[in-house]
Amino acid sequence: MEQTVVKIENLVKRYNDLIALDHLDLTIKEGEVYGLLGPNGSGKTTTMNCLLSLLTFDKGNIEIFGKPMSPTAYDIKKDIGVIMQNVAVYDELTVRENIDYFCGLYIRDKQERRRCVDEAIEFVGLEDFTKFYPKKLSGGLLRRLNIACGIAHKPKLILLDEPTVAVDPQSRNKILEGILQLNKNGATIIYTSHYMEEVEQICTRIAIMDKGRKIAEGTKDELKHMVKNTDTITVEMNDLPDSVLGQLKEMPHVYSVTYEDGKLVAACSGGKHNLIRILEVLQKNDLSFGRVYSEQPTLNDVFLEITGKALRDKED
Amino acid sequence: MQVFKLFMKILKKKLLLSAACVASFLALCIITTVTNSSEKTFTDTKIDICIFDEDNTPESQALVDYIAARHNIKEIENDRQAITDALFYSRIDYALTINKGYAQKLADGETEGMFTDRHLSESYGTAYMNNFLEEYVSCINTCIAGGESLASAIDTTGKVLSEGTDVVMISKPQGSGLSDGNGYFRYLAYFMPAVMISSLSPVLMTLNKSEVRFRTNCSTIRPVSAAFQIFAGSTVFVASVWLLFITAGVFLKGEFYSGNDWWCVLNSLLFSVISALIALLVAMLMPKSDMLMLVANVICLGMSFLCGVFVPMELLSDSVKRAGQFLPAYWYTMVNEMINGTAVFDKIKLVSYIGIEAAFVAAFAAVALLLFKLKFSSVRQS
Repeated sequence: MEQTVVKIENLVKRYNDLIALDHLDLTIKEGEVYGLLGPNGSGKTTTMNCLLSLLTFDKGNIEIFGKPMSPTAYDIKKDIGVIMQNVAVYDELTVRENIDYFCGLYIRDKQERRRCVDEAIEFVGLEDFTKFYPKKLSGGLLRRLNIACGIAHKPKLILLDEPTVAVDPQSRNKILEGILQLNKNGATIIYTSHYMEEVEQICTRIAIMDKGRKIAEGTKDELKHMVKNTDTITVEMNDLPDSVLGQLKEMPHVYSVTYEDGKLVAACSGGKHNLIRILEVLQKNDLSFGRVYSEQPTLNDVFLEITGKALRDKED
Repeated sequence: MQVFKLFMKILKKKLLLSAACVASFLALCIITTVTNSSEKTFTDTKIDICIFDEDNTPESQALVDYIAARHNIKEIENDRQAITDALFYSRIDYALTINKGYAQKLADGETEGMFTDRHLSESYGTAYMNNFLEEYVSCINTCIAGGESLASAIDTTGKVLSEGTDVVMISKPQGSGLSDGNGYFRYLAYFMPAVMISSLSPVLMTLNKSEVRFRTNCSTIRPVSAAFQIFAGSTVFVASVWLLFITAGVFLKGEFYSGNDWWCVLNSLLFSVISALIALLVAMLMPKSDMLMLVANVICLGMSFLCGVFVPMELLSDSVKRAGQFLPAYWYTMVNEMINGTAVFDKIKLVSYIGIEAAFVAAFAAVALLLFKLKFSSVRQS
């Protein structure tokens, strides 16, 4: 049976009148890559800070590795690694010195530390940059250094708070691959992000948060099954008479049809062969069409349907 | 000792500015020690003068004697070219000719046309000599107006004007210690905070960067242990800088400290601690290091001007002194002045001034602890 690594029960955190965490319950099992997904201000980072005992909370319990977490729970802290959104390294130290320093906060033995530092450098691929100062590194390399500083002591639980913000796609993929590798090596991962694609890509289980509450939890497939929308069909066409639009709306499993800017968009709920049936209606009415595509619901659709708002702004 | 080692590594990177401060201070002290050593008492200025007595009377001879007693008489040929050359090559400052009829004019109370003078420009020496002659003639005229004969008036004038004025130096240094006028310990009140703010503050600011502090707080190192290691690093730095100053002082003085010098040493140690605490407060209150040098200048220069470091305490107005009393450098300077003899030495007062400095240490440390608790506690309320 998988061991519970993190257990949060009934967690409440208030900032005066604002409720940052509203009776939050989370259970994370060993070996999971657990995603905390939510828009800015949904309580992800507050959850992380409470989890690390860096922030006091008003109510609830937090257990890590089966023991209550507290600011002085150093036996728990030694097995936790933290990688934050902002790069947390010293500009005055070289790459190697930085990793060695942060690793040294956990491991006192020099030889063991040297081995851990070497492995961390190799893991993030910074072998050629060990004597570089952070200011000389590119954004992607800096993120890798940030990760190396957080994992060098070989933690069993790794918390990553939006580690790919403002990172180019190539470096982002490299970082995500690294996270999966850490998970394969045995670490349990808690990953917060508002990038749903990333969460879908790497997380085995996902909790969607909004206004300090967990509004949904499950695997990505389980979450997608929670919503009415099963697939969205888009057909590019020059003209669509109102009568045909009416026919489409009458079809079974089609619960929403719109025609705008030469695009027919039909949202379907359940059923099979929805695409074929829609195309049959169009052919029957002698309507020509261009590109046709069908999309599965995304986590954004899940979030949209549950909360009535998008998970993140388009410009993000 | 991971944090201690980190402290030292970061300090090493920030030492350049500090080294520049220390070097400039020591250079300044060496220069002032070398140049100020002979100017410790007041003496009348004497100018080099040549006199041509064309009147050749007892009255004119009396004037020549009077001038000779106070200035350096030089023999120059009474030739226009010779006098011009002597003035040009600074062999003389002033060439005076006592014109024929000087005694008669003196008896008649006339002042015009008595002398012909030659000099290169309107120099300090020229003005001094003109004033000297004017005072002499004026005094004789006053005596004659009072009913004295010319011979008696000349005698009286000679006696009256020979009475000198007692001059007491405002900062009269006593002894040869570094507490004296060369200002070694006095200028420390400017340089020590400058060194601390330029070196210690950036290190503490780097260590307190929120991102890295967050990561440190997540680790297994105890906050008390981390704070202790930072404290140990700061102590090593402050002690090193202080010892450097004290050792350099021994070399500048040419002998080891003795007697009252030890009060200065103790005073400087206390002020070094105060400077370190000021640097700590600056590091805690400054959001970014960009403005650090500006803040350092405002604090160091402001405190120095208000507390008699650059301008002697005697020359400061009462309102400035009152304002200065709220600053530690004021009490540091007061202690130094008492030790170097500018102020009356009073051991009870001396100890109380040092006590006030110790109170500043306690107050700054309390504020620093409070700020630390509010801003840098490992567990935040919000």
